[in-house]
Amino acid sequence: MPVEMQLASATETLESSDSRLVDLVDGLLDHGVAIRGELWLSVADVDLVFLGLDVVLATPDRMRPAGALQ
Amino acid sequence: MIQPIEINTKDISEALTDLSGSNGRLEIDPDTVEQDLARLVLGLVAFLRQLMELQAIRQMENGNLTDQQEEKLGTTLMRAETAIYEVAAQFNLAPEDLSLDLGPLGKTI
Amino acid sequence: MIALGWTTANKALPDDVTYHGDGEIRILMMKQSTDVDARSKLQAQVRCFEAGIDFVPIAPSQEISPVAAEQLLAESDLRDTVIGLQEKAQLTLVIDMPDRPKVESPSGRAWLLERQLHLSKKEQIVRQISEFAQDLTLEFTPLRQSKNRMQCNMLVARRRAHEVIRAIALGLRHLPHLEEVKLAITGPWPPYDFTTSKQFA
Repeated sequence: MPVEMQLASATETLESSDSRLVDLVDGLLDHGVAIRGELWLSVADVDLVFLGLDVVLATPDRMRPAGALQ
Repeated sequence: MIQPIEINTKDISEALTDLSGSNGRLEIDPDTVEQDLARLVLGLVAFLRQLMELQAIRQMENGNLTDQQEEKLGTTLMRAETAIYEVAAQFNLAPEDLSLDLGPLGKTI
Repeated sequence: MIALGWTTANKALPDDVTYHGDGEIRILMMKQSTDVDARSKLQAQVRCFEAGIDFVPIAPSQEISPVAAEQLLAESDLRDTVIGLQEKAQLTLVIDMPDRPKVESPSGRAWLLERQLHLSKKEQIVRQISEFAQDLTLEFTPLRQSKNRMQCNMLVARRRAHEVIRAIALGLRHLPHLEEVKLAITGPWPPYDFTTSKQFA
């Protein structure tokens, strides 16, 4: 049985309503260069508790070298 | 021997970020305060349970566990998962609402 | 004003995007200054990319002004990244596993073994894809996974992207262990998942 496979360009992916591709696009929104470590617990639009202070450019889990699985 | 999983505040912060979406805010709304708090607490509990499950599997693969230990671990982790989802359901939260990346270990699969 | 990324490009841009700054590395920014949601930023980035602009993308969910983007460039090693990612593109594979079979009234041990089986299947699939992709890609990140879904990101030479897509599609079609999974190969994208990478060679 051949593998079920779909090919989509970036634009096609953005326009797709396939739930997998929609999820992929949602995920991309948080990828790229980011100033992270800003997480607030807020009540009624008032920020109360700040969690994490480190300002980094993206996160180390996206830095895995080729083929690394361990 | 397998190294224990170490979790630091950064991992917790990342887990919370995954629960909060992209705006960097975990909103607790007066109208849905029970559900919001339940999502926060149960999401963290689910995260820790998943880490324990991964570690249990690694221990099992390495032959570190007796049959009785595997039985006990499996039963406990299975019941814990069921219990988490049951409590979540009472707050109208689906399993996906608690879904996180599998955490530091899960991220390397 | 909202920055979209850093580039060394000098080409014509889509209508709603313009350059900011005049150094070796310039900022891509949206002309529209307010009410730009993350999705619109992503769309604008893809339009720039598909117009042939290489750039290091800012995460669309982030609000970073062109001035702040210049500051980040000055205060970090972003320049290396911008240079390193020139002429690179990202391909993203989405892999859907079949649902975990429900074990009926299992023993704890059976339950744990079933979980192990599912996990090792995932590992096997990712290992196969990474082995297969090794010769085709510059860099590979397995990741972002939920229960039944995995995502693999590959960094490839942009001019070879379509060639690589064809090769991957052809190669994966007959790999063992992939019978029950569904694959989507998407891209080329701007290199969203390689913006902190130091391995461009």
